[in-house]
Amino acid sequence: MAQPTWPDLNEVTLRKSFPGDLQLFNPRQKAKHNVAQKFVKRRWPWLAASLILTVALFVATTLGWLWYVDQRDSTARQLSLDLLWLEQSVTQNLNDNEHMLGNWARDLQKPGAAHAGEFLNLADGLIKENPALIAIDVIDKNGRRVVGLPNYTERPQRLPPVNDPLINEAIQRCLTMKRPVYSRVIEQYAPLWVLALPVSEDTAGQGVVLATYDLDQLLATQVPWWFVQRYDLALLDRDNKELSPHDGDVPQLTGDFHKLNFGPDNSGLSLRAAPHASGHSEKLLIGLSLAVLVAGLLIIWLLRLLQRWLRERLAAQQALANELHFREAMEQSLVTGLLAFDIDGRIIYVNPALCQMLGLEASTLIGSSAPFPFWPKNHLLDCSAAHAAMLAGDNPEQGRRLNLIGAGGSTLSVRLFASPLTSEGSNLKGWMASLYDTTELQKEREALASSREQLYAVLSGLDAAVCVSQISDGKLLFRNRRHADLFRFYAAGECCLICWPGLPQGSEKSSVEFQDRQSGNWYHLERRKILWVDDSPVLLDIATDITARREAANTARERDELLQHTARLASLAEFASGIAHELNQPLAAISNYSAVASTYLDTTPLQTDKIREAVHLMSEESDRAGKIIHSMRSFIQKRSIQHDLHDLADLLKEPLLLLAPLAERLNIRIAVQLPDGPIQVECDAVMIEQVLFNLIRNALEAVSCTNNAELVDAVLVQVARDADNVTIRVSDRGPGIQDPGKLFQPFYTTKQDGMGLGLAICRTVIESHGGRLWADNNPQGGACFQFRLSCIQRG
Amino acid sequence: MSNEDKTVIRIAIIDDDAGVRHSMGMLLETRHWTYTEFERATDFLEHATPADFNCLLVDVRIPDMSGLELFDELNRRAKKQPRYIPPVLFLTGHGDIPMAVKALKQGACDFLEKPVNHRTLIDALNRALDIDITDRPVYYSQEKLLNEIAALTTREREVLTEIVSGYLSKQIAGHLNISTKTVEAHRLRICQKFNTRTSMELAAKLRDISPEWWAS
Repeated sequence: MAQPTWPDLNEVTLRKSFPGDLQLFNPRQKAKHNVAQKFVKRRWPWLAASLILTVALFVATTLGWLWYVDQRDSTARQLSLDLLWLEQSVTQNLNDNEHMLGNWARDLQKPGAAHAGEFLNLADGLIKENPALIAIDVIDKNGRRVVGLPNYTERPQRLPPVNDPLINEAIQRCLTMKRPVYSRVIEQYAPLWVLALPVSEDTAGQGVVLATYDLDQLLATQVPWWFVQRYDLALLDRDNKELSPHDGDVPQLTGDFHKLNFGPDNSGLSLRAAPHASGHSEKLLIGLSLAVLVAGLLIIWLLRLLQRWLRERLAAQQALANELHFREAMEQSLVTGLLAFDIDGRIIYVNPALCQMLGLEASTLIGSSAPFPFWPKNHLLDCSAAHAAMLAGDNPEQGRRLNLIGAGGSTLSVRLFASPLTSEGSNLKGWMASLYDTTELQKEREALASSREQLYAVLSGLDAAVCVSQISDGKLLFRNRRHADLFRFYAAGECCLICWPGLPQGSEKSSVEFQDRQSGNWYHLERRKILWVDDSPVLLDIATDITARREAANTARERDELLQHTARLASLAEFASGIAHELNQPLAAISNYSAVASTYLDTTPLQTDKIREAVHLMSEESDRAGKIIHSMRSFIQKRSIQHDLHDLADLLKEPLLLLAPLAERLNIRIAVQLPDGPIQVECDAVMIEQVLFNLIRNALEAVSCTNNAELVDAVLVQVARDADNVTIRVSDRGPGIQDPGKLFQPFYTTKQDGMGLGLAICRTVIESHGGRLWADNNPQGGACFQFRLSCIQRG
Repeated sequence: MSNEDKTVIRIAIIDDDAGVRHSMGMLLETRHWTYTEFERATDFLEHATPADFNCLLVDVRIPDMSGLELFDELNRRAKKQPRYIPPVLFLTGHGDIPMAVKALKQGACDFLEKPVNHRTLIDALNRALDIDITDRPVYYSQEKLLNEIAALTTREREVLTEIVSGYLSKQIAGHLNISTKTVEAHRLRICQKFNTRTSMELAAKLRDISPEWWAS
C-alpha cells in the first residue's frame, strides 16, 4: 500500500487560513494559467479555422458519399431500364425479321419458280438491311440447300454447314412444332444463331428456311452508341458463358450489373450490362471512407483540445475573477489611501479609502493635476513642494508628513509614501503613493504628550520625592524635581535610597520612616516593586517629608506621655507637685516675716514686739516646712506596704514602653540585657517602675546632651543576679556625674526645669524596699546608676 | 468705709494659707496700709465690695474657686452692672506661667511667683495703687453721670439714647413717633439737667458710658 504523503504543515495551515483563494498564492499554478491563456489566445483563430475546415470536410465527405450512393442507385435503375429497352428493341428486330421470313417462306411453297427469285430478292434486301443476318438458306425436305443467299458454290467457312447437328436439331424441332425455332448458339468463328422457319405449316416433310444471325454483328448493329458508351454489354449463353464479345479483355464484373433474358424463351441467352469504370468508384469509396475517418479523428482530437482549452480558459477566468474579487476586497478593506500618478503628475488611480479620507469622488480625483483640490490653501507651498519632490524621485523611506483637507473640510494629517510605478520593461510609468491617516495618531501623540506633561507637572509639583531605580544595580531611572532638590548623590546615577540601612529589600510593598543624615529631616518612604516601561521590575520610592508631622506627633505624643505618666503615677506626681506648693507657702511666709522683721529693725523706736512676733512666726513656718517634707517621706513609706511578687522583666516593660517615644525622638536605642529565666522580686510594682522610669529617662536626657546617641550602649539596662540579690544597672554615655555628693539631695538638679526630687524619691523608694541605690561614673564615660533588691530564690 | 478717710489704703488679701495671709498682712502694715484677709474667693464675693479696696492680692491656687475664676466672675459682674474693680495682683506657685499670661490678658495688673521677694511685692503694690488712683475718679464720674441718667424720665432716656446715637430731631421724632417740637423740648431739658448747652457737648460727656447701662 502506498504510504500517503502528508502535506507540509505550513501548507496545511495556509490552506486552512485561506481555503478558497489558496490557488492565487501558488505562483506555479498561476503561471500555468497564464500560459494556457496565452496559448488559447494566440492559437484561437487557427484552431477555429481548422475546426471549420474539418467540419466542412466531413460534411462534404458525407454529402459525397450520399451523392455516390444515390448516383449508383440511379445508375442501376437506368441500367435496368436501358437494358430492357435494348432487349426489346433487339427482340423487336428479330421478331420483325422472323415474321418477314415466315411470310416469304410460305410464299415459297406455292408452285412456281418465280417465287424463288422473288424470295431471294427480298432476302437480299433483308440481309442488306440487317448486317447481322449473314445467310438465308432454303433447305428442302432432304436437307439440301435449294437456294439461298449469299450465292456461293462452296459453302463459306464462316457459315456453319447445313448438316450441322445443332441446325438439324433446330430443323427437326421446327418441322415438328410447325413454327419458327431458334437453334442453340453455334460456335463458329463467331457465335451464330440459326432461325429455322417451316416453309409450309400444313405439310410435313417440306423444306425449311434457315436464317443465320451473327450474334456479334447483331449486338454491334442493334446496340446504340450511347449504350456502348455507358455500359459494358455482354451476351451470355445458358452456362453464363460469354458469347459476345468473345475476344478482347473482359472487365471483371465486381460492381453492379444487370442481366436480362434475351431472345425466344428457350434460347437460353441473356444480356448482361454493367456501367463503365466500376473499379474507379470503389477506389473513390475507400478514399472517401478514409477521409471521413481522418476527418472524424481530427474533429475528436480538436474537440478534446478545445475542451481542454475551454476548461483551462474557464479556470483562468475563475482565477482571474477570484483575483479580482480578492483585489477588490483588499482595496475595499484598506484604510490606507492609495493613489497613482502618471509621469506628468496626474492622478490615474485612487482607492475607495482615499476617497473616503478626502471626502471626494473618485471621478473628481482621477485625471486631476496639481494643484489638487485637497491641498489646503495655507499649506499649498508645502504640498506642491512635496509633489514636485515625489515626481523628481526624492522619496524618503520614512515618508513625508503632509496636511491635507479631509472629509468635511477638516485638517487631515497624513504620511505619504511614494514609490515608482514601472511597467514590464522597467520603464517609469508614474508614481504610486500611499497615504496613512495620521490625524488620530497625531491627536493621540499630542494627547500623550499633554498627559505626559500633565504627569510631569503633577510629579514635579508633588511635595513627595518620587524616584524609580533598578533593582539590580540601583541605577536611578527617574526622579522628580522634589527628589532632585532633596537628595544629592555622591555618585551620579546611584540612588542612595537603596544603600540606606534599615530599608526593606525585595518585598513587594513596604514603607519605613527614616532620617536623612545630611539634612536631619525625617522621611516616610514607601517602596514598592513595579514594572517599568520595559517590563523590568524596578523599585518605586515615594519619600514624603514628615519632619513637621513627626515633630507635631512627637509633641502630641509627649503630651500624651505626660498625661499617661501623670495618670499612671498619679499619686506620686501629685504628691510631688503638692509638696512644691505646700513648701511654697511656708517659704513665702518666712520670706514675708523676714522682710517685716528687717523693716521693723530699721524703725525707731524699735518695735520689739513686732520683731519678736515675726521671728516667732518665721520659726513656726520653718517647722511647717519640715513637717511637709516629713509627710512626703511618710507617704512613700506608707505606700510601700503593698508588696507583691513581680518578674523584673515585666517591671521593665512599662517604663520602656512609656519611654520608647522619647527614645525614638532622640534617636537613641535603649539596650536591655536580661539573664535567662524569671527573676521574682517582692516589691511595689508602681514604685519600682517609677524608679526605673526615672533612671532611664535621666539616662536618655543625659545622652541627648552629647553626640553619643548612635552608640550601641548609649543607654544600657543590665540586670544581673547573684544568689539572693538582683542588681539593675542603668548606664549611659552622657556627660557623666559632676557632683556625686549632692546627687541624691532633694532639690538638687542639673536640669533647667527639674525640681531635684527624682533621685531623692528614687533612693527613698529603693531604701524602703530594703535595697540600695547608688551612682558612679561609667568606665566608658557617662553615668551609671545601680540599685540592688533582694529577690526570691528560684525553685 | 470709703467715706471715712480717702487717704487710707485698703488691700484685700485672698489666700487659703493662714501663714501666708498673716505674714503678708504684717508686711503691709509696715507700709501703713490696711488690709482685710479672705480665706476663700467665695468669702470675698459674698461679703466684700470690690470698690472698697484699692488693690486685690489674690493667690491663684485656692481651693473651691481659684483666683482666676474669681477674677473672671468679677469681670462678668462688672459687665452686667457698672462696678469699680480695683487692680488685681496674682500670686502663684511653681510653674503656673500659662495661667498667668491668661490672667494678664484679661486685665490683671501683675503676676508674682511665690515665694516672692518682699521688695518685688511692695513695688508691684505701689504700681497697682497708682493705677487705682488714676482709674477710680474716672469710674466715679461715670457713676455720677449714670445716676443723673437714672434720674431722667423714661421718655427723656429714650430721647437721650437717640441723641447719643447721632440722630437729628426729625429722625428721633420719627423713631419715637412723637412731634419734633416735643423732641426739642426734651432735648432742652436734658441739656439743662446735664449742665450742657448743646447736644454735641452732651454726647462728648457721655462718651465713655455705654448706652446699654441705662437702656434697661
